Amino acid sequence: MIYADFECPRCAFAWERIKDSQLRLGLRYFPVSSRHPRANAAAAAAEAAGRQDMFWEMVDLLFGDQGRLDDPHLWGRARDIGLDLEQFDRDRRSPEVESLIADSFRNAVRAGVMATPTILVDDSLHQGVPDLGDVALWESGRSR
Amino acid sequence: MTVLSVGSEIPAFSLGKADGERFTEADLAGNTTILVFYPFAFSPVCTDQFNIYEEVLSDIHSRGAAIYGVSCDSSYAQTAFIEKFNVSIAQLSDFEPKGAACEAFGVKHPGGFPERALIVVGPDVKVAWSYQAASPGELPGANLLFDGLDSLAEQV
Repeated sequence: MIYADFECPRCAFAWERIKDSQLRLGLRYFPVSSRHPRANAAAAAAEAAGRQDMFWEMVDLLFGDQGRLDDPHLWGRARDIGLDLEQFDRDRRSPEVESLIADSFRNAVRAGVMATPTILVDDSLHQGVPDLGDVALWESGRSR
Repeated sequence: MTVLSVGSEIPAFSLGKADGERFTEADLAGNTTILVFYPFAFSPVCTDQFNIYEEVLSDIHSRGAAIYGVSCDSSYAQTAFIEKFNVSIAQLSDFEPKGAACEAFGVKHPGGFPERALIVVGPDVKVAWSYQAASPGELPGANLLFDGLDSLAEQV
């Protein structure tokens, strides 16, 4: 489980390290909006894409170009992966999605997440970008 | 030197506010207050720490608590720090005499700057909960702020 902020460069690096691994992945939103003003909007875009079964595709596109996270860039990504744009916009702006992201942040804080990226593997929190050795160990079912 | 322990009376102290006024033990009476002692404005860990705390500020306020950052930086440096990083948590300066309040709270590092520590002060102006990081480079998670507030709630 990766706790991530889509505007955090270290999260993008961590994503590159784990995205093609054999790990079963989960993602929790940890947008630090005072540092990253578009982090919430990007998290909402991922959640909205997920409601059209394109969550990981959007996650990859968001991490892949963190310099372009304004609304037209999000619409462009949504178009590229074939989302219904009106539905995408309704979902990403909905109070339900806003509340889900806020709850994700609160729960992460309660779980002891202090910064991004943090990766939870087998009840153990790993802070920072994992090195290739970490990923290999996790894939083999062992924790460092 | 270690941070004041639970139940300790808050000593007399005086810290500078951004508006030039002083903040003293009298400002703690009747309130729940979280004091966040941190080594240096603009240092990487301090920046991460305040950005994360900013995200839970509304939750802290909804618990009826106020929160302040405390360092030995000047008020001007503290103001520049929080403006630069979009943080609204008020800052208190222990600039002159440098570190006097930190010493009174038991958090003055031998290097002349504050240890990274958290103190929850109850309305009775006593320490309700305190925490000192093992090293100034260790970031205390925001979960600790709520542990502190929970601890105070259990004492009431």
